[in-house]
Amino acid sequence: MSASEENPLLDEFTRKEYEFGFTTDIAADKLEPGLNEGVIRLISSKKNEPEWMLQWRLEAFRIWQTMEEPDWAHVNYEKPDYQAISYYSAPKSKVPLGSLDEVDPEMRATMDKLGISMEEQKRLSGVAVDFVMDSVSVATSFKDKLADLGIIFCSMSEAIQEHPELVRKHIGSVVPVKDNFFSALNSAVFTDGSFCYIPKGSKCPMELSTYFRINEAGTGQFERTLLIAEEGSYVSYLEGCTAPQRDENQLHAAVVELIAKDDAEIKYSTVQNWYPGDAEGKGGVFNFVTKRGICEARAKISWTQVETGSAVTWKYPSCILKGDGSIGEFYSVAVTNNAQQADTGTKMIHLGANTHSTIISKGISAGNSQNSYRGLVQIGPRARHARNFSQCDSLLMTDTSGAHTFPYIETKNPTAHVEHEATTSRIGEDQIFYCLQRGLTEEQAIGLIVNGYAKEVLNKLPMEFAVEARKLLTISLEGSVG
Amino acid sequence: MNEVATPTQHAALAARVSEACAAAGLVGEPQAEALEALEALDYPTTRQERWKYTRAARLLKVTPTASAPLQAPPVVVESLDALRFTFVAGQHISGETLDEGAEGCFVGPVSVALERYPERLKAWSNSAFATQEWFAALQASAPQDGVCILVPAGHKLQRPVLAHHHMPDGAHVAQPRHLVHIGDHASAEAVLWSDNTSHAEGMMNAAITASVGNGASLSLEIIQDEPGTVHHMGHHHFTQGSNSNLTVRTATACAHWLRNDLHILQDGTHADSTFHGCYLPNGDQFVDHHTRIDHAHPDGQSNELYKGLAADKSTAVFNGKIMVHKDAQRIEAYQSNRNLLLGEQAAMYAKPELEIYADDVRCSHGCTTGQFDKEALFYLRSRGMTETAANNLLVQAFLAEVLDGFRPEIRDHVHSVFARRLGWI
Repeated sequence: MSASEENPLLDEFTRKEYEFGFTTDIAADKLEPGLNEGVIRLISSKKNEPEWMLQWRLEAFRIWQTMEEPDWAHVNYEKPDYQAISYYSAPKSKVPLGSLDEVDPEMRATMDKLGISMEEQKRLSGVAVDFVMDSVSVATSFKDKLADLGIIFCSMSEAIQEHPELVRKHIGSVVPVKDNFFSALNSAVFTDGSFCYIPKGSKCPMELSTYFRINEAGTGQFERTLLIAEEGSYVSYLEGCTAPQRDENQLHAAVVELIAKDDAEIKYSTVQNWYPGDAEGKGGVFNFVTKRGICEARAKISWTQVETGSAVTWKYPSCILKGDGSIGEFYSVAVTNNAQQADTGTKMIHLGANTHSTIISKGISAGNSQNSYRGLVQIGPRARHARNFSQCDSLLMTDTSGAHTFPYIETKNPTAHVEHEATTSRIGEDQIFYCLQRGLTEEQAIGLIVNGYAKEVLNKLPMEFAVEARKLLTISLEGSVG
Repeated sequence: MNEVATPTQHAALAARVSEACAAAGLVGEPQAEALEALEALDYPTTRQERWKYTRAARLLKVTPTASAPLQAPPVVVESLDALRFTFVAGQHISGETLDEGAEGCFVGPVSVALERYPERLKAWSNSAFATQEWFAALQASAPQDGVCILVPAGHKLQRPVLAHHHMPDGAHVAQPRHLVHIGDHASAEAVLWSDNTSHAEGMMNAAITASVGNGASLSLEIIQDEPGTVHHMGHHHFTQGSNSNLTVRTATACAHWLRNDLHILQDGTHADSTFHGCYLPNGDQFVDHHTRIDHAHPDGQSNELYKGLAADKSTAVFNGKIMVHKDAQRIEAYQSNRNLLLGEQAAMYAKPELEIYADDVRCSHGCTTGQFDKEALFYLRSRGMTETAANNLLVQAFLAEVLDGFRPEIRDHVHSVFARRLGWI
């Protein structure tokens, strides 16, 4: 018996259109598709960048040209034609904005549709939002308030202009240009992103947040995020994504670099809900992201992600635990449905002594999707008394989906303790039956079970995101049991 | 380090090995596909996922020199009552063939089986690895003698089989091929023992191909006790029918450089597979266990347990893959890999994998790497045990889960090898 006969709700769910599939009609300043040195020079000059930045980009481009697109991930897709992508697109109304009221009304409406009315966020939740539409930041709030504390939170292009010494020192220090194919591409053509600097001893008083959005048809987004937490500082950073419906595949190759100095703590949370393509897998975003953080002594980096969108995901937020006593954490919920494919996980590189890492990964596969966890835990020869615990659970909703686990555990120190466990199972019929008996509908039962299954991860999200994530999970999965 | 072998290097190795094997005597025709595969396949390098932690480049230096003197090696596990066969460097030395005629059981060297019953071997004797792995292709392109066990449908082999393969002093190459075929509702037990003298070098490139019929049962114990500096490549391939039962226990008691590829294909419903293994490299030894189970049909079960210790500067690798195919529902598959690191420079690489394309399954794997529990050690010391005795007991306890599945005489032998190698006697 097929899944849809067993449960008509699955059918209903499969037909569900992408909720955030709309396009904003704003005149955009866009480059012709193609990638060559000229394009990079043009991007650089449009952004009025200093010479060293241009040289850095050109060097990255030369490296990228010698590299090959990786194919080791457990995903199958048609490789994008990198010459058919436009590498720069900026909304045209580029008068510097004094206040939020000056923002293009149409763009404001887009924000409202996405549920991020800026005034509301400003008033109610105290979240500073650096809103990135296509490639240029259009509005930044709470900046002055943060500036009082010495915290710099601005777009990458602004940071290159105003804090070149900080950018120059740290960019590419965690994710080197030649790290991989996509990081090299990003380094060559990145257009914007967020930059954040927390000075020594400061605790950022609010959750910092950025919304990314791919808007212009056929433009790839190449975001570059750099977050530096000086000694003893703390910051919690949120990132949420949603993109409009497109038939043409859109490429997103972002690079995120986190630097946590001694005793600093960075909490980085992501909710990703980009357009996953239609039921047959047509269209959808390619999400090829390199995220990595480096921890100095006693520092802590915590990655939390809820991945529900994108046609193809290739993403491994990692921690280099360089300093003694540093801590890395990775909490992930990855949901795939229809023809989505995800190959995601983390890398915990233990270099210092007494370093600890925790990995909790929850995969949920529905429809015809393929969901893979790929993780590396590496204990270096000098990482005495390193400790790792990994748990990777997979939940299968249909008999046409797949759940895979590819952990790599490399231990080179005899004092290390490494534990890895993984389970794969179907959503329990007895659990559903139990809930039904107590008067819940099947949808409610599945919602309850799935939210309970992912609770360990959802609990790690900041309040604002936890609500959104729970909603996303419920929308994504209710009625999808096979 | 340049790991990429130039074509001439590995072609030269293949030529050297084939020549040496042919000089000593081949058994049967080389597999045609294997010869093609040998040309077409790449030599394994650490760039390939399956060889990520295994440096096969060192095998390129293997140069067989002397032809082996065919002397019978010392008898192993004398107390075991079994049909015994002895092979030296891929040649049959001793052992009386059990032949009950064309309809009955046959246990003897492959060379004899090929003479008497070529038809019975035809259908299933080709190794599936031979077209996928370079070394398996090399083995199949110049196969040598091993044991052949044929148990027709409904028969039970009354005595266990012990096939002992020995590598003498000197640089030799041996490519034995063991064939096991258990007919429907038949059963057999066997021990495949490989050992060396301590001055043996060269390469042992062995293949085991076994098929277990519907409702049949096979219990196999593989003992690898190889001092010396022989490089060992093992290609162990099993196919199971419906309702069949397979148990494979592998004990790598001693190995200089060893790679085992164990592949079980459940080619029928309600198949049950148990595969356990243990290893304990020390010095600068290298032991690599790759396992893969394919659940291709519904209602299968599998239970995998590999435990090991890595001491001194040694390296241990474990890669276990559970593959559940589409529509293979109601599979229960469990995998467990536990490791202890004892040496400051020892390394352990583990990659337990799950690849699942069916939803109604219960699969799990667990993998740990740690060290001796200091409290346990302290407890034993405080009761008057020497450090050596305490360590010995803890190792014994740690490996007991795996070793207790072996025959007692084999278990004791393996344990004594472990204890002697680590100086714990």
